[in-house]
Amino acid sequence: MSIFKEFTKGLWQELPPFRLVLGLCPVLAVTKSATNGLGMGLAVIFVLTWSNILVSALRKVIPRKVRIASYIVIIATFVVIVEMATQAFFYPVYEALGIFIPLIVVNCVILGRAEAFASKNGVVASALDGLGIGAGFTMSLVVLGGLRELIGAGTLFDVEIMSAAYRSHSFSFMLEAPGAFICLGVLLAIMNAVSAPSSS
Amino acid sequence: MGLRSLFGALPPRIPYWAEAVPVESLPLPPKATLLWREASPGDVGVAVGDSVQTGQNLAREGAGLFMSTVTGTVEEINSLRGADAVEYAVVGIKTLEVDSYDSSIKSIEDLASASPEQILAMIVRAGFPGFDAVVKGATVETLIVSALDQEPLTAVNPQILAEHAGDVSVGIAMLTRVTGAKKVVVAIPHNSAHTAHGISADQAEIVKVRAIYPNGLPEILAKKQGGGLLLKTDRNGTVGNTLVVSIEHLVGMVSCLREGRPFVNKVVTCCDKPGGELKNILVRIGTPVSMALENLDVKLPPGGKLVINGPMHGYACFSDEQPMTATSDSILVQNPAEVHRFENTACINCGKCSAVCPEKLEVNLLGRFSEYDIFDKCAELGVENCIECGLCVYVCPAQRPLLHLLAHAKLVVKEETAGK
Amino acid sequence: MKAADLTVSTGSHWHSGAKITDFSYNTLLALVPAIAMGMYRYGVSAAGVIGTAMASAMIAEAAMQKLLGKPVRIADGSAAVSGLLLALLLPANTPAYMVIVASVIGITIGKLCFGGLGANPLSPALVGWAVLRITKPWAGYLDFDLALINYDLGFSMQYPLAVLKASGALGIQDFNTWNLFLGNQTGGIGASAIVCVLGGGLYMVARGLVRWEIPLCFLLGVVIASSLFRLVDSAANADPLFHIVTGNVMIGALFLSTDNSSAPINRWGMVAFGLCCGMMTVVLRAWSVYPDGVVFACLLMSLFVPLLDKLRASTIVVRPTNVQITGETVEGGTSS
Repeated sequence: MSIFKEFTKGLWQELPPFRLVLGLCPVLAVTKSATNGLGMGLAVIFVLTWSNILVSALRKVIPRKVRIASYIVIIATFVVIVEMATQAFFYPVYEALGIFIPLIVVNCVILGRAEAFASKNGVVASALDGLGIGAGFTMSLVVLGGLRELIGAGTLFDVEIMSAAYRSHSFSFMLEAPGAFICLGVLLAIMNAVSAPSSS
Repeated sequence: MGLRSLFGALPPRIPYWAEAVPVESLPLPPKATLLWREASPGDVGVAVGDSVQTGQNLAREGAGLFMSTVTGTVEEINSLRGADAVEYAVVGIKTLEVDSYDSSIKSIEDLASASPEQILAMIVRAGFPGFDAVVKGATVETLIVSALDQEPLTAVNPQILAEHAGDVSVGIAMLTRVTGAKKVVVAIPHNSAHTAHGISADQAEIVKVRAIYPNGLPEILAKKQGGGLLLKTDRNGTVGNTLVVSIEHLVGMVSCLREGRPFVNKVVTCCDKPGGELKNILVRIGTPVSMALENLDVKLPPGGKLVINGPMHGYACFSDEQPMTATSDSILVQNPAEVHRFENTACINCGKCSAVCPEKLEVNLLGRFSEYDIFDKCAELGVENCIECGLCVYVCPAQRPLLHLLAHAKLVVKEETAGK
Repeated sequence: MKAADLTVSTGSHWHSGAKITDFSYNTLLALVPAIAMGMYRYGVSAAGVIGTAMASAMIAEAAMQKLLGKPVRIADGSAAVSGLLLALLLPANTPAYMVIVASVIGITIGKLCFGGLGANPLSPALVGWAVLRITKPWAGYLDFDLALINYDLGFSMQYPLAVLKASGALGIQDFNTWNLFLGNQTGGIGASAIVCVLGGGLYMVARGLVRWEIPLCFLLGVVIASSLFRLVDSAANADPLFHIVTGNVMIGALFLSTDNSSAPINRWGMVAFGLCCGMMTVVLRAWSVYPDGVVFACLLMSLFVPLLDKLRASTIVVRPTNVQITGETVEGGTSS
């Protein structure tokens, strides 16, 4: 039961971009469409789960003083794997995400989980934590990207949802950087408003 | 009372009273109440039932000076926390019709030859306020004798210049010697019909000051005419180098010292309706406001305001038993309709308050910091320099209680620095 | 003792009678000539844009205040002013949905999210306008040459700043400065009525509601920067007078940059703010992709307001010094 909780907490209680407000750089930059958000999210799930597992497994071996450097090395390994894999098999996604795939190395969510959770807990719990947080991160990215894509371009996962009239005059402000900030802020406000009574 | 200047950046023009107002004497009150600032009932040296003389020191041995202004029997000894958040000792005295004077106040026949120390001691003994710092030995660089009233709707000072020109000259000579001031300034309103004749140019510099608020406030006079800071002292220490004496006190000093009498009668201006005539009354210090109002046939409207010391920086009394003190200049009665109501609105950042502030404080920020209890920022922005003139409140379009906020911040900052 | 039923408060016990509504209602009044000119020029469609903008701004403000659990204070007129200023910057035939989106975002995101009147770091009208400007599929409606193609008002229907951008100083020789000043140019509904805006602005300054520093320094900044540009390359850049009487400069100097909460309040802060706004306007006109830079200049400089407001003599705090009570020579006086 408690092990399962490690997974579910990432879906609401510790939802990364909204609750932990971590890793906002890729959140704002790559969510121009739901597809990009999903791609980024999957990449993060992969890196986060495996780095959590490895960090957790090596937690007694890594000297405390060089732990951050060690974590970075572990994370970077998986990031390179992801980068090469997307480049090989999902080239359009690789094109769209661009610099933000290598930047997963310094994503606060991943380093944060390694430092705050994986270095203190067992391998199974860490794997579940990584999966859960990663799933939450992916979910947030997809929601944000979906909203922005829907309003800003009239499509969702590149499927044309709105009429052609809307799409030709879409509110592309949402695809711009300020639109990302406003959308994130509004979602954050709604989340806080929804969960405010339960937390108090 | 309009504030409609072309560029909106000029200070508001709130003119002082220009005409002379005849003074009417009031009979002795049946009961006088005396207030002693920053003192507790334990500092009082008399007990209930004791009879006291006019001019008698009521303070316990070594506690300073607390002078009785009437002859009679002590009825009550109490304490009170004033609107300025300071403890007051209160002594109520049932008065006798005929004054018998305390013998320790002696007349000084020749003011020119008496020693400065002797004169200073007698000025303080006769009950003139404002000399604490001088007694403690603070240096007085500039002495300013002000013929201006502090507030609009007050008509105490300007006439005295005409009536007692001779005494003013003697008084200035005396105070110059007592304080050792290097520069002496006589400030008179620009529209005053009375020039300061009898005061020679080598005795004092005569300055015409525009008769608009806040130019008559001692702090502003000290800054603008003396180029210094008003001398102030309290338990935390002393600040400033400029002594400001109102001409009423100056003339009072000369006559009191000549006759060997304490300073017990004070001219107070009353106003009971906007645009109405002012009435000047001569009251015994300690007379409750209620008695002054009864004599003038003024009724307090329920829900109205009773303001002592002027509409701008005066304080609103919660009781009409409030006694007159040596520094009470005016009584203002406001109808409920005239009473200004504050609003709980947010600051709209228009900047009017900062533009009118004579101390050049950033009132817009101070008000907000104080509202949210960020007092270290208030200290950084110099809230302690606020002289509580009330101009920011006067101009605020959001009708925020700025003076309340600033005074509160000032108090907290003062306590914090004293505690360090 | 008689119970005296008295009101107590701190001072001052008088009030000048100034109200929050002074600024907004007088702004509305001051803009009446510009509105009238816009309606005369562009007819009912101009009235439609103005009405839509003001109504949606006020409704958005009321709804948002209700949602946030704050007292509804649309009667203070600030939302109406924001809506009106937004409308005056837009061409007369802007579609209603664009006007509504701009004013709703301007009011909700630009103002009430920051705490409402007095707390907004940016002017809501400018935020709304900027949202429209960077929405690419809608930008065609803000291009005056394209938007006003069906109007013929008896003067050159080319947007002067677009001509300047396209063909430099040579292209604008046909424009008569005096004619431009009288408002004979295409542009926003009210912003192009230069003389009306100037009159309204002078009224605001005379009433003491707008301090003179910002407008004057704004125009001065425009003159300085455009003179510099002209010194460097007189073929590509217009003369200062042309810059002042075209586009949004006049409305920007007198109404947009003087929004209370997004402008400094200390004199030197206002001077610096005005100068920077004016100079930035010309820089954006010369180097940015947009023909006019007033709104972005004002938005950019508004972000520097807390910094600019520090341009003032710092207050020296005077603390008491302890004085010996019995001593002969005493350290009186001040310390800072």
